[in-house]
Amino acid sequence: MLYPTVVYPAFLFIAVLAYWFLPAAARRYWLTLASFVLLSYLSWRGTLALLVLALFVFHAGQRIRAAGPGAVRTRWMTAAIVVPLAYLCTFKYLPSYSPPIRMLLEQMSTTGLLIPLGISYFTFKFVHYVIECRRNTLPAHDVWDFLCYSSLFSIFSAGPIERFGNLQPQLASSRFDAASISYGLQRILFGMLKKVLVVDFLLVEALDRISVEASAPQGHAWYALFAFLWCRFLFGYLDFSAYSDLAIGTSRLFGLRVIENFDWPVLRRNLSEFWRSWHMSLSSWCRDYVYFPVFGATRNPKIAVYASMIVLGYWHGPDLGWILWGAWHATGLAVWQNWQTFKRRHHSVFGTGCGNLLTDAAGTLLTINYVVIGGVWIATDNVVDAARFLYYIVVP
Amino acid sequence: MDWKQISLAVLYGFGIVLVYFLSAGSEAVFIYQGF
Repeated sequence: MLYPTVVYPAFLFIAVLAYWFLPAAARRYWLTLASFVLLSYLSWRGTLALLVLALFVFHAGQRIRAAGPGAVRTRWMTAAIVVPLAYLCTFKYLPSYSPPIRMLLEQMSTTGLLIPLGISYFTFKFVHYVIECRRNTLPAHDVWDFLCYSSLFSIFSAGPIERFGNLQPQLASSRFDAASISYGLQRILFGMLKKVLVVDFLLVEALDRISVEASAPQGHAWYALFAFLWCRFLFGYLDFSAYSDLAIGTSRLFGLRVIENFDWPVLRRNLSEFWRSWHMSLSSWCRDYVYFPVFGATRNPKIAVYASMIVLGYWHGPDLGWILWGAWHATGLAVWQNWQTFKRRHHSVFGTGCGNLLTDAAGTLLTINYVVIGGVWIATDNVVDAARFLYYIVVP
Repeated sequence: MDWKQISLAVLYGFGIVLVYFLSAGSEAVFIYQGF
């Protein structure tokens, strides 16, 4: 979001300064106003749509909270989930399947961006809000809390997908803390160094030197193809974690502790641990709102894991590659679940199940390389290219 | 006032300004914003 421009740092400086000079009770209004001003500067049409959607979802949430079990609550809940999802599908998924809709949206776009900024993120935040209203787990709040949550500019464009119950109490009890400002600036500096030095300098250079065309893997050694997938993985990981550092650091300048997105996923010993430390705000969303409901309905962990990982993959984009990427991870998780069951059944052979250094290291190597190789589904343009790429790695 | 934290904040602030100007002109676009 505007990071390389002069406008954004100037805006941020004024927003933070005014925020702390205002009385505590007025800060959430200021933060909401500042967020809507910045988003309107980027695209007033998208911001207007966001405002209308947010007001609708808030109203529906209040009706859901007020209504007892019955048809009224079900109707409001269905509407509050279907409307944001329909908005997401119209802008993000339909254009890929329908050229006329794509042309229409291109003509309507004033920013050059076909997809409204942050659409996937705020849609998932809305769904989370509606379901938690239904479960009656949210603290007392008003429309300003919800508008601030929906539009908070520091996490708007690419997450983390914050939970309302985590953010709202912090908005209600805002207090200046120098350590929070210092930590926020440290995270921003760290994120900038990661992005500028490691991603934009080292990894872009490395990808240039490897110079593998993903659609034409033939003629390259298997290790060059493997290095290409590793570089692409590191690029995606570090780029996104650098962005997350900026988002989390910026939020801390306002005294807000938003949820983390990464916790050293490259060091995890198995795929289950990996998904508890990679894009955590999204993976925990899929766990809570896809895995558990599907598991509750089917009592089958395999179906639940495939459903949640395919939703997670499809959330990224409307390509078959993302669905296969999700299925690849679901398969890995299903194999890991089976392995755990097998170990429990053969307790006498495998002992307590506690790993030692050697098995932990082997698990980490296997896990991270499985993840890296799975990146082939999104590195290529189509499934045939991905399969060919895999073939040239396996059969040198 | 917590002067240690304020000093650290000033230091990090200078670091941010330095990196910002050193990287001026680069197109720091994050791939995940496409989602």
